[in-house]
Amino acid sequence: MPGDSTKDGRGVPGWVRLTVFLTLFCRGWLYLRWDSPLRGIFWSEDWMTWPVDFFLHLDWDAYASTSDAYLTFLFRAIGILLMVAGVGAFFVRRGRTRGSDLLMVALCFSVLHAFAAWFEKDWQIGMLLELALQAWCPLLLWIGIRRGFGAPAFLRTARLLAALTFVGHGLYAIGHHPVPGSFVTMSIRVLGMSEDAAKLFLQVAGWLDSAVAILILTPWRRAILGAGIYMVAWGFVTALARVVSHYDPAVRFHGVDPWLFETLVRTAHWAIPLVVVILVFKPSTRSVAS
Amino acid sequence: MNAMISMRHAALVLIAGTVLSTTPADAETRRFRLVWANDPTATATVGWEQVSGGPAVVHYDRVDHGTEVSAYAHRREVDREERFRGMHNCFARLTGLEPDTAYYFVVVDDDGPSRRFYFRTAPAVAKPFAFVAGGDSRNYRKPRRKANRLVRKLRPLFVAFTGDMINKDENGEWWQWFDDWQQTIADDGRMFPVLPHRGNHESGGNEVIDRLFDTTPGNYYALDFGGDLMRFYVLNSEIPAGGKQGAWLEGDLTEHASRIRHLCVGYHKPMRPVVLAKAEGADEYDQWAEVFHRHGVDLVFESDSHSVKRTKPLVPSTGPGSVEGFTAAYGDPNATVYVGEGCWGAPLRAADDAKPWMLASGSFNSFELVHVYEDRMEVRTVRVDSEAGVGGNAEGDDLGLPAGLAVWEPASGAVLTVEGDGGRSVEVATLEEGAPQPDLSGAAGRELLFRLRVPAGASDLEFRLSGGEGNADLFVNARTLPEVDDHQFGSSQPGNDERIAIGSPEEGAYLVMVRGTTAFSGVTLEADCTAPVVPPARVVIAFPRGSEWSYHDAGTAPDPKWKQPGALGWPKGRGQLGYGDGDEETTLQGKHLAYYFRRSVTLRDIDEISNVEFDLLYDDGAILHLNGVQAYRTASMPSGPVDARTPADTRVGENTRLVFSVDPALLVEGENVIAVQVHNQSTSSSDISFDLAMRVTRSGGAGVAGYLRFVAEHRSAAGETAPEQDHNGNGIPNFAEYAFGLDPFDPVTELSHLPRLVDGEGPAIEFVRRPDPGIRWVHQVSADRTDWRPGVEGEDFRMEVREAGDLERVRLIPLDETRKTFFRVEPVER
Repeated sequence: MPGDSTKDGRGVPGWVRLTVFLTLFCRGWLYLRWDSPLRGIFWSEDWMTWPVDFFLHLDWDAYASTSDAYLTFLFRAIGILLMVAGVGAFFVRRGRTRGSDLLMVALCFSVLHAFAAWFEKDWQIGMLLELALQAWCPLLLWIGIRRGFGAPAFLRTARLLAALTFVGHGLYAIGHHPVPGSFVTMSIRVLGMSEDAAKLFLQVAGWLDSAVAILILTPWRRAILGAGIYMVAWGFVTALARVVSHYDPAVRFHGVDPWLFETLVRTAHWAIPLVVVILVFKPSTRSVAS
Repeated sequence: MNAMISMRHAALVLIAGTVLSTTPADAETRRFRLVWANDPTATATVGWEQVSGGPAVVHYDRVDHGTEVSAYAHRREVDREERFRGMHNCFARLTGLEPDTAYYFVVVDDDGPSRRFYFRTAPAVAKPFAFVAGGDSRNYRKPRRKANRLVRKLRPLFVAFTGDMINKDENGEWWQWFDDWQQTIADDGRMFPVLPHRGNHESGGNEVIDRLFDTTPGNYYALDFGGDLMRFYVLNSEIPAGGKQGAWLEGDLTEHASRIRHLCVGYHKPMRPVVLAKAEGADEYDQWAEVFHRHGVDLVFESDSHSVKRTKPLVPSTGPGSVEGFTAAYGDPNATVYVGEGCWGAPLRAADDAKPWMLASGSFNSFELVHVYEDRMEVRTVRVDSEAGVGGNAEGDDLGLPAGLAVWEPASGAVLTVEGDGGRSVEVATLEEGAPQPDLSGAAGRELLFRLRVPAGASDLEFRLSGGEGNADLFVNARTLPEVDDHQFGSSQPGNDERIAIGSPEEGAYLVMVRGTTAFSGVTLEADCTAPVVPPARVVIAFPRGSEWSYHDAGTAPDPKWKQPGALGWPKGRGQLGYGDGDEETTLQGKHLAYYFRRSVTLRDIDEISNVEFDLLYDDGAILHLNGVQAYRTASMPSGPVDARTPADTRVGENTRLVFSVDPALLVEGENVIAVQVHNQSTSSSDISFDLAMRVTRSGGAGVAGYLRFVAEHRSAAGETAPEQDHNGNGIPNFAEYAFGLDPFDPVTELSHLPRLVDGEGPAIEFVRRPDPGIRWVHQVSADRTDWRPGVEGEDFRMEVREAGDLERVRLIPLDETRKTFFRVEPVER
């Protein structure tokens, strides 16, 4: 939990554990109750016709007509595993291989999730980059446990993942990939601006995302701090926008499910930059920011 | 060796033959498409891929000249070229066409003409026509091609394709899609214009649809068909539903809705998907649902979920009785029917999130076939899997249903009729009871329209107009829009003081028109009514555990009709049925793999049923069928077809109990057949067990409103006052006692109120009843007290009704006195 670290003294392990917990637990819930981009791969006629025929002895007709229930079961099972692994993030310690193994399995599924989302988005590189923090934050925890949360490798990885995520986000916002309608809609609904203003706002934000992604990779402490603080604020706001913009009293739970989970699954977008800010602002003797 | 050579030659001949057959005279042009994005009575866009050479030219005429290019009267060069998705897409925009006319054309390049195609422009006057709507043709090419071939067999005026043509928005998939789309072209060369919508899998943005179909940059527009008969809105759910699109939609509907008979809308992402794993469409609901209702949009096509649904006419509402922001409103002329959701050729998903206001849902490859008439639209969901056996409509007979066409037949009926609204889809404001509408004003002749929803059981409805200056009059209709010279209620006093009182209003929408006889201003309209006693939702036991079942325990396959109504001559026994545990009420033959059970239950007013719940006791696996449709399968049963030799997958504990709900849409009004097959895990199993109870949750209809008022007036204390309970313990449910004019809270029952045999001029059945419109009286007759059927007044009996104070005394007199007739009288909540 934040502030519970006895070794670090700055709460970094707690923030990382909380981030990994929320990322995995909420992703797990989204698999369990909702859906998974893995479905796109499993339902790719080009990719799956042969494996389905070879392994299941089914032609594509039979598979496409009947696979829904089995895929749903599979995603639910993965969801439960991710949720368990998320809780396990609080208990992973150096030397406890069982916990580390679980974390690594969860990491594999997180990365697989990012790959599937990339596949679903027709290989738009922005999608893969945007998921960098969500996909690899279990690795960050593992590095922290193995090497220490103030270790240069930990900080370098955190900065790199944050940069990749914000570059990915920026590629959509500036229109390198088609600007998602949901981005514009969220801006309109949350900020009450016109569609044109929302698109301009996103473009500015997109360029800022790209700028801070570069700045956080520079060796200058002030640049890293400035970029990190921006990422904390913007990452938090964009995550929060999910649940705010989709609040709907007409539907079950007022839209909190799935949108609260979509918000929390993005915790890494602001919490890992926060960790970077903490580490750079108050370096330990082992931390090398520049 | 010779054999090998000859085999190679055979292969070469085969390959050559294949190349030749796909390389006809249109070698340089292919992947044709016909698009409507402008006035369909006068324009059409011909699109194709230019494989090589310079862009071709379209030669066209109203007369068929075959491939004799020089004979065509008109020519159109390419208006737009797009090198996109690995194709050189060319578009020629034909304009100045005549309405409702066949146009023949060839696409001519340096290598000569393509095959001769033709299409029909849309009629400019109200004339019945057919169109097809559907979406999601990704990743399941076999049904996609079948659906495409069905298009050419049905010969609709156009196809509204509601998005997700492809899975991955890349070259190869689009090539395949356009190749498959060629199968929509009829053998005689007729092409069917497409109205392409954008789905989420067109992930390359709005430009994908625009550059491949030459539509509009934003992928949203609207077209008139048949003059004022129908207007179709192509919307884009992949961009903000509000914003510019929302402003355009509001403006266009404001301009056109009042003159159009049928308003249709298509878009990709559903507002309320029928698939549980799909998130609700918050933006679409917020920005469009109320707009659709306000302007009277009649029919909406949604896609995306790879399943099938139909709703009742819906109005957006978050008030009591609403579910996920909608309530059903058959009486509201502006209510909207939603259908979908995208099965043109996509892997199927279970329709596992049906709402109470849905008529039916399912999961199969299909599209919607819509016949548009002046007074109505008829929607049929066409199953595409049986395409091979379907004949075809002749040219000019696009309203026909070809032989062999498989149409979905849910319990609610194969044809979904969406009634027209008489061309008055004008803007109607919402009037709330007790919330005055102040400062109404307008010039002479100005008509302001309002809608008030009156709940079931309300009374003393009053509309008042008051204050201000000038002279405005008040006209009111139930359900339909009032006219000055055609209305149910009117008040036309000098000045603005108008009042209309309706003592016993109907449930549903009342439409109110404030019309200026002269100019008027500062006028206030208000409505009041006495609120009804809202009947609470309640769980009613349809049949309990321990009920009587017919069963088949021979270990053989049952009669194929065992899931259908009708007697089979099976033995009967009460639950629990089974063997081996010692707790059975009815012992079955042992050591078989499968046992079959069936019974029926009569349910009325099924629209009020929001949940159907079964309480199943079983061992080891079970499948429950409701009216012939599999409604539930326990996890211990294998998937796929099951017969009398199929064992359960796993062994479950003794007398395992399972409570589950099934889709209420599976119910039918009247007799419902519940059929259950229970399977052992092996023939060596020591036991089998089965029992079942059925409960339904009723929202409570108008029928109990009078009863609840009676309860409120006669019994203030809480207790067993639910209609189906028996407060005084005399064996007669509270509602029945009330219906027979008795007091259900008085332990003394006046027996003379209940049906009894009397003998006046002849034998008769006499009883007392309460004249409550919420009660429907069911009279059944039987010759042997075993087989009952509905009695027909005038054939089986005549009825005499006399007033008896606040009650009525009724006499049922059999018409055939030569044979014995038994009567059964049942009061039923409406």
